[in-house]
Amino acid sequence: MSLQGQSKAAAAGGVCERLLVVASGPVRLALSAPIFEGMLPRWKAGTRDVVTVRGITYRVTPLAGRWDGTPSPTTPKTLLLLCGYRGQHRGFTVDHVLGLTEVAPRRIQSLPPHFACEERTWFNGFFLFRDTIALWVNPDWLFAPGKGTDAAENFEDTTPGLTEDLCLTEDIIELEIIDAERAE
Amino acid sequence: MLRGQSKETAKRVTNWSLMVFSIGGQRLAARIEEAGGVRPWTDPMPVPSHTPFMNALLRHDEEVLPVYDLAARLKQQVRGTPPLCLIVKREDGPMAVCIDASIPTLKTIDPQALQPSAEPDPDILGYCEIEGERVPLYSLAKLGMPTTTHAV
Repeated sequence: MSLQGQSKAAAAGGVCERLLVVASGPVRLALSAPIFEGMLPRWKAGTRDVVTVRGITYRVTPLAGRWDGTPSPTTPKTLLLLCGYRGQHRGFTVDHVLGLTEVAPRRIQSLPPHFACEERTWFNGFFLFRDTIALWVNPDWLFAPGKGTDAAENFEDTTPGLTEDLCLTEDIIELEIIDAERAE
Repeated sequence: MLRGQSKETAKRVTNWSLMVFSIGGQRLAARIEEAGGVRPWTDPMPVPSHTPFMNALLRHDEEVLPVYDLAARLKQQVRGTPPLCLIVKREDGPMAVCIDASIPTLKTIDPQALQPSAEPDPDILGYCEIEGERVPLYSLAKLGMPTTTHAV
């Protein structure tokens, strides 16, 4: 099963959200499948903050950096997720991928009202995933310019000079997740 | 006073039942009706958050509770292994608070004996004397809510 381009899957009782669940430190996050464009080991992308894959330039940041979290140290297992949303492209490093899951809408809950600040806009909700909980990331927030880095994050994909950075064409991992599961 | 009740019975009815627990060895009290129970603590899943001290979700089977880090607010470290999970009946829904491993005790107090809080902490209803110690009585129903004012 290929992940790219698929967002929803029909299931008995409704349309399921197709989500990629990743680990960033102790946090489990779910990304909508349509924003996912590929994945490669971080070490293959080098240490640069910008990577070009198949002609698309991605600015790379740790996923934990989106919420001022402390990123995990980069290890040989660290993965780079290549994401695209509404014409923007970003790369996010994560510790590992836990799997692809299809979640029925009735299994997705809103954050409890106790969470009263901007985190309510960071996540579309959460759901039970295996023996833990996964937070469904709002792509609008994920791709929004970060504090103090707006200029760097708002570059055009065709910015001159960026093409001199690491350019990968063959090594991208086509995500064929066999550990797919359906949480209903 | 209802007919047939003695004065002593009527007075007892007005008393408050408290649960006394500790965080970092510091004793705290709360009205028993604002506590939903105590169970062993399990590892929560951190939730990135800007809400003060609200930073995790705790799963217990199919139930998920937000976690309020009262220990961090009190600048204490929870003691004992494993710690306990106090279920708090907050007005807007239940939440979990990690407390010391020592088993909470029950006490009854006369609310008239409550001493007013000297500090401007909206979550403290007052102080009560328990075994010679001045123990803060917390309002769990409003614990950590953005704006709370209480009168003793």
